[in-house]
Amino acid sequence: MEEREGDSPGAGSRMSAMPVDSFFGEDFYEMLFMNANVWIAFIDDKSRVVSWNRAAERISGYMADEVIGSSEIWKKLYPDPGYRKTVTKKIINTIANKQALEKLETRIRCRNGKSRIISWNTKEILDNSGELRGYFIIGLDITDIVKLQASFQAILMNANVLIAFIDPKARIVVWNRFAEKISGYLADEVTGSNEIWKKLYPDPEYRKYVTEEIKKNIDSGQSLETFESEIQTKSGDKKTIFWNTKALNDFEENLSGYIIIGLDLTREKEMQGKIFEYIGQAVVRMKFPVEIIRDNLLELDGRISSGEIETDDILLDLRIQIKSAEQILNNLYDLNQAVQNSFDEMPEDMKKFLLE
Amino acid sequence: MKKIFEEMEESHLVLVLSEPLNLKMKNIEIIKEVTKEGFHVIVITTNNPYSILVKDYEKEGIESEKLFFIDAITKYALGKETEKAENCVFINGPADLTSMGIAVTEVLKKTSSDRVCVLLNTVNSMLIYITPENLIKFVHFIASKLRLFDVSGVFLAVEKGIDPSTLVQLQSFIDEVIDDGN
Repeated sequence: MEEREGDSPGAGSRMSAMPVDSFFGEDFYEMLFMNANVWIAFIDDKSRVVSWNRAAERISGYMADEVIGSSEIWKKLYPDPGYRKTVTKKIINTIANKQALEKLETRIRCRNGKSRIISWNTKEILDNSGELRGYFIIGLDITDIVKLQASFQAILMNANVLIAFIDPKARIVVWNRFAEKISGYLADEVTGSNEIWKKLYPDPEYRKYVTEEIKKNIDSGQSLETFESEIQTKSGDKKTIFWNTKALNDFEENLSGYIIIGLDLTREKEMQGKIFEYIGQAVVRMKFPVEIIRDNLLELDGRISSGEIETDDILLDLRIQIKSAEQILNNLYDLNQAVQNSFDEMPEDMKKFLLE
Repeated sequence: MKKIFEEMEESHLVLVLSEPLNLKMKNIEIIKEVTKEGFHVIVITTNNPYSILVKDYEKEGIESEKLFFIDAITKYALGKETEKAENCVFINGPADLTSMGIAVTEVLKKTSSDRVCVLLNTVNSMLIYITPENLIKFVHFIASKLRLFDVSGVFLAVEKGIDPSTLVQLQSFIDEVIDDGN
C-alpha cells in the first residue's frame, strides 16, 4: 500500500470559513455536490456519514440511504482491521496537525468485492462558534491512473533501451533495468547522485567533450537526437551508446530534469567495423587480383596478336592466370569463413551458402 | 620527373607506381636504365614468368648477364620442377616467403658487383597469394636486407592497386615514391 501526503493545504482550507448551513442551503450547491464526478461526503465528528453523493455511491457501490447516519461504512471499505487502523491513525494525526489532509491514497474494498484506489482530501469543518461539526471529504478514484502508472513504470523499467531520468543537477532519479544491464551499475548505486557520469566517462577530457556537446544541444532547446558516445562499463568494457535527451518542465514551466534514452549500438558498431573490414579485404584480395588477371590477359592478348610469343609461353602464362583465379577463389572462401565467424546473427542457410 | 637511377643515387629504396597497362613497359624501362648505369639487377617476379621476361629484356637489348631472376610463379603454375636456368632460381610459389627471403639473401651474398639493384615485380601480384599483413612483413624483410647489403631496391606496383593503409605502411620502409600517373 502506498500512502502519500501533500505539503500544503489545498481547496479544503478555503472552505473552512464557509458555514455548513449556508453551504447546503442553496439548491445549486446541492445539485453540484450530488452530481460532482468526485466522491464527496460529509461526516460528523463521530465519523457518521451525513452526506454521500452519487459519485460516492457509484465508486463504492454503497447507496446513500445505506450509509447515512452510521460509521459502519468505514469497516466495509476497510475490512482489514490492521489496514483500517493505519489509515485512521494517519488521518487523525494529519488533521490534528494541519486541520486538513491532502492526497492520502488508500485502497478501499467496494461492495462488489473489487479494490479501488482513492486519493483523499479531508478538511475539518467548524461552525461559527469554532466547534467541530465534522469533516468534508473529497475522494478521487485514481485506480486507473495508478494502474497506468504501474504499467508505464513496468514498461519503463523493463524496456530494452537505457532509460534514465536526471534532475537539473544531473543526479539520477530513475535508472531502469537495461541501464543497469548496459552499464553494470545498479539503480541503488547510482540513484540520487551524479557520480555515475564520472564512472561512465573516466577520461576527464572526453567527459568534458561529452558534457559540452550535451549542454550545447540542450541550451539551444533541441532534443539531443543524434549524439553518440562511448561509455566505460563497471567491468571496464567500452560500449557505444546512441543518446536521445529531452528536457522536461513541470506545470509551471520550471525545468524538472531530463529524460534520457540510450540505445546500445556496440554490436552494430562492431558489425559495421567488420563489414568495412570485409569490404576492404574483398577489394584487396579479390578486386585488385582480378584486375591483375585481366591486365595480364590483355597483355597476353597483345603478345599473341603481334605474334611475339611462343606456344609454350602462352600456355605457361594461361596456367599462371588459372592459378591466380584459383587462389582468388580460396581467398574468397577464407573471407567468407571470417565473415561467418564474425556474424552470429547470420542465418544458417546463408552461412552454408557462403562456404559452398 | 627524375630518372629512376637518379632517385636510386639519392635514396636506395624506391616504390614505383605505374598505370596497370604500362606495367610491362615500366618494368623494361627501369631495367634498361639501371643496367645502362652499370647496375646488376636481381628481378624477383611473382607475376610474369622468367621465360617471358628474359625474352622481353633480350628484345629490348638488355644485357642478360647483368640480370638474375628469382622466379616464384613458373614452378607454381606448372606444378612441377622446371628446367634449370643459369641466371634464375625457381621458388615453389609466391606464398613461399621464406624461400624467397633465403634466395634473396643467397644471391646478394654471391654477387660480386658493387652496383646491385633488386626489382620486385610486382607488389600487387603478391597480394593474390598472401595477406596485406604478410606482404608488409615481407617488404620490410627485403628492405632491411637491402639496407644491410647496401643495395638499391625498386618495388614495382600498380597505382591504385594497393589499399591506402597497406600503402602507408609500405612507404614507411622505403625512401621515395615515384608515381608515373602524377
